[in-house]
Amino acid sequence: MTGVAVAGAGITRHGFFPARSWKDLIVEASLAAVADAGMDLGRIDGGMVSCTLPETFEQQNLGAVTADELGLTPVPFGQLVGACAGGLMAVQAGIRMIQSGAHRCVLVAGVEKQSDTTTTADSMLSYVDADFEAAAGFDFVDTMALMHARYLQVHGTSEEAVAAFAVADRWYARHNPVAVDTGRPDITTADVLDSGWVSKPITRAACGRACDGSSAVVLVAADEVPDAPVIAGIAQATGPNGLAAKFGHPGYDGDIVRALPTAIAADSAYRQAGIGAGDVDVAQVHDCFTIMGSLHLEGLGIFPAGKAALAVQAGETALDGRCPANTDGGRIGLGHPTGTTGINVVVESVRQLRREAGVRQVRDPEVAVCQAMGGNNSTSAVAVLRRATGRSRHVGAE
Amino acid sequence: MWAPSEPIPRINTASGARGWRNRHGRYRLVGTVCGACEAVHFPARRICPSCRSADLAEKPLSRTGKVVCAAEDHSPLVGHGGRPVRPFAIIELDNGPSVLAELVDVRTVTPGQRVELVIRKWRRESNGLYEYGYKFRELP
Ligand SMILES: [Zn+2]
Repeated sequence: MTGVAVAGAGITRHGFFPARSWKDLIVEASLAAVADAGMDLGRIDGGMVSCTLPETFEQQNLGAVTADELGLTPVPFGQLVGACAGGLMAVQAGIRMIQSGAHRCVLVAGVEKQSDTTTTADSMLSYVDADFEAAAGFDFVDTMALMHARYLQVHGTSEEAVAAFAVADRWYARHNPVAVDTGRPDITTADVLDSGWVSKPITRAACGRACDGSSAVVLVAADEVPDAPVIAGIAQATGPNGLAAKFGHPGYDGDIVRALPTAIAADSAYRQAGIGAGDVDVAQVHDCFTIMGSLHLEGLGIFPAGKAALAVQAGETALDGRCPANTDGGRIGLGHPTGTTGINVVVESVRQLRREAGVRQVRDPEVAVCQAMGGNNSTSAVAVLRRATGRSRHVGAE
Repeated sequence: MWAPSEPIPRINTASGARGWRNRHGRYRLVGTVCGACEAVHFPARRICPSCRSADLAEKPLSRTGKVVCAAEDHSPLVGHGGRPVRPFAIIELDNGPSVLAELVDVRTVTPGQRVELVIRKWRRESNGLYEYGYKFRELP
């Protein structure tokens, strides 16, 4: 147990909003999280901001700027970058701030404003290996196309099974009012496979949706908010950033067909929480592409290696399945504002554990797991959240 | 009034030195070999990830290898166009490490195929210079 609870969570609509700046978005999400916690903004005594692409709006030092926008200066605020895992790593940093005893109420907010540049693929390029892989013309859809091809090659899985992740995401997203795909009709695996190659075998509809969006959580010591979901475990692990360098790398099992940092972080987070993969009632994983969603479900141990895509195709991650996953629509259906994503997964876990997810509500979840990956499996963070018991609790009480 | 001859301001324009520093890796696949455990790395490293020794020597790697897995880029990044489809692959070099590279003079690429190093244009950098580097082509 971390002894820290999520007192409040807020999220903005995801999409492209030319009239709204990153400041508009992060202030909206932060105020929503504080209001959800039933608190006064003045109780925030520390903060962390996650953003992967501040160069899109040409502003850095986002911790200080956010504190000032919220009228909170001189409260200490920092900025944390960990590619697309940065949001969940910022939550981990916020937990450490409270555990240190130096802070009592920490705001962790993610923001992205990807529509402020004209080509989002190029804006993500500095996260790929800059010297030899990005320079040679490869972006994330290319490196993940190789992971996709390798998965089919090693496990003999069908293209239809991998595509099923986007179909499942769409169902959840169409019922999520803040999702990019809210209200849109259901799709089929044929729709996903016929949507045109981006980088074969990845098609357009198999891609996470770069967009604008912000979300925020308020963290406090668990014994101060006995009704709030608690963070029972959280961990992060790293791997080599270059894609080809994973082959033969001693820290990477020598292949690209496994989400190894996810497996290592999950092992640690589960141990802290005293759970096993079989105890997970609802999961949020990093589906920046369909293949990655399945790789991370396997990394979390929810399905065996090589079996996640088949399980998704068989409906195991649907609302009535064995482990509902990406119940907010995920990166493909909710949208993928990269610095926000790692906080979005916490927001959805909180909604599910508080049983406020409406038609997307999983039946009686007690344990929620969420995960965010950065780079080509070069960093991954995993958190385990538990439903509050409603009784006064102390650190290590469970 | 805005004049077309006015330079377009950009935040990041690469210095000439940045691409030049990597020339041995890009042109000749120079990696490193560990003096302590004999592991071979690409790109060149400063610490061996296998044994953490700093006793590393530069070593040009094999110019031939075989395809491990392949994909096809149908949406090339700015500056990498000019081909309707860019086949690319993970290539395991004959003496060890793997590289991620584009395949040229070939339409389809299959795992196990033998390939050899060629030097081709990679992209035009933000400073206007053309960067060249390794690509691979099919061996008969
Ligand atoms: Zn060594």
